[in-house]
Amino acid sequence: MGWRTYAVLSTALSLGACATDSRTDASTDMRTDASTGMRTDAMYRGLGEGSGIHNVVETFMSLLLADTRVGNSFKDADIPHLKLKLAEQFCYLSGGPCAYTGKSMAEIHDGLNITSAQFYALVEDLQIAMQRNQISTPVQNQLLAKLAPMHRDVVTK
Amino acid sequence: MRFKHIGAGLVGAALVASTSVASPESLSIPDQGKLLATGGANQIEGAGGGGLTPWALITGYGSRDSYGANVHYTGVRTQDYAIDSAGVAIGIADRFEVSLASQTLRGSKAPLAQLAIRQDIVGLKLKLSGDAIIDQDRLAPQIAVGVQFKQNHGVRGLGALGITDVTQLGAKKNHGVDVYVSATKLLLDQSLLLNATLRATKANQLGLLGFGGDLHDRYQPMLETSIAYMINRQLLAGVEYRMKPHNLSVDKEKNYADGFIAYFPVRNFSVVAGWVSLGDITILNPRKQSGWYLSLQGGF
Repeated sequence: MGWRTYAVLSTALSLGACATDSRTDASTDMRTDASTGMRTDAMYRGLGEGSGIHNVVETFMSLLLADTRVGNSFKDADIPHLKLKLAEQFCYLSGGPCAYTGKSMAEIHDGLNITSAQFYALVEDLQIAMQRNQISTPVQNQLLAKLAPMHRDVVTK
Repeated sequence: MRFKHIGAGLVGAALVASTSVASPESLSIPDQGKLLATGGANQIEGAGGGGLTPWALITGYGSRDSYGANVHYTGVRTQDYAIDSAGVAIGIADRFEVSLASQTLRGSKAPLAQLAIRQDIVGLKLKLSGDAIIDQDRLAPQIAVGVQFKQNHGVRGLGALGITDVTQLGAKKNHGVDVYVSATKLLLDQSLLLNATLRATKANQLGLLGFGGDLHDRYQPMLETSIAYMINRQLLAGVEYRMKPHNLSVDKEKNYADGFIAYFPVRNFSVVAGWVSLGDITILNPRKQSGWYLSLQGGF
């Protein structure tokens, strides 16, 4: 195969992969299978279902609270409640059998002056927490894909 | 020269953009507020990107409220040539990028065994729209425009042929300006990073053999693409392809390609190692050139 062939292929691939992204829609917050349109819980299973998510949240919160980049943001927080809502949210976002009953991201973070750097410090702690709980990279990234757009509501500074 | 005006316009627009998103006091502290790897490596001409091509990502780890900077060294070794590039790059407010690089091409096979050509490159890049990380729910990529001002410092080692300047090889000029637009889409859902860069250029072998030539002396659009897969948050593997013009009858210039692995252990250091194909360089050596690629970056 010549490199020219490759160039055409890679360009086509780039465009094709962009096109398949259209199924990700934050307004529904629900994972649906592209071919069947059915809701799928593959990401939820990849996270280890309820117990897996519980473990990730435990590791995540201990990393967060020890993280000087964001630690102060949680000094007045009700940690057990926060863990509960986080687990609920991850379960819901990953297609698990949960409903998210917490407030909206915009409501929670209104007036907290969260910076972009703090947001990404939190994302990094979550990545490390998932890594430590042996969550595969594709599943990690699928969850991050659900969380990343929340930057718009969380980061107000 | 009209592209010089574009460069000046870019600087002005970037200054306006920078001051509108970040206050001066917050900009005084480097916050390293971006995710690992999202500042990219430094491509062969010094801009934030992959190996061969600039990406729309802004170099360094400064968030929208801060700035980042890095130094880099890149080496390419093929059968008969070596390219070395070193430089510095600064990213401001995750919006604007300035890069400086000095590049040297050396030959090791007769009659080019003593060949040494150096060029300096000043790069500017301005992010126009989108955010590669945040916009996971949108189709639009992160888009940036950039310019690279290049100055070739002449040919050494071909004194026996009486050649001391690239214009004697057929190039019309020893300096030139590349203008490009880059679109970077991160598909976290698929752990893929895609980039397409469209560059208007007259540069022969990146500018190392001058600008314009006896065959063509006009700006031509060249497509550069990158695809990288995220193995984990510290490791990416990818391939790139960069189309190039063919302006000189003494150089049947070929497109470049590479395959790379990029390792970002921490924000302060990264290494990109790969294999690169450059094609044959000048009719004085018809052998197709390929070999290894190594790029080191240190910064914040």
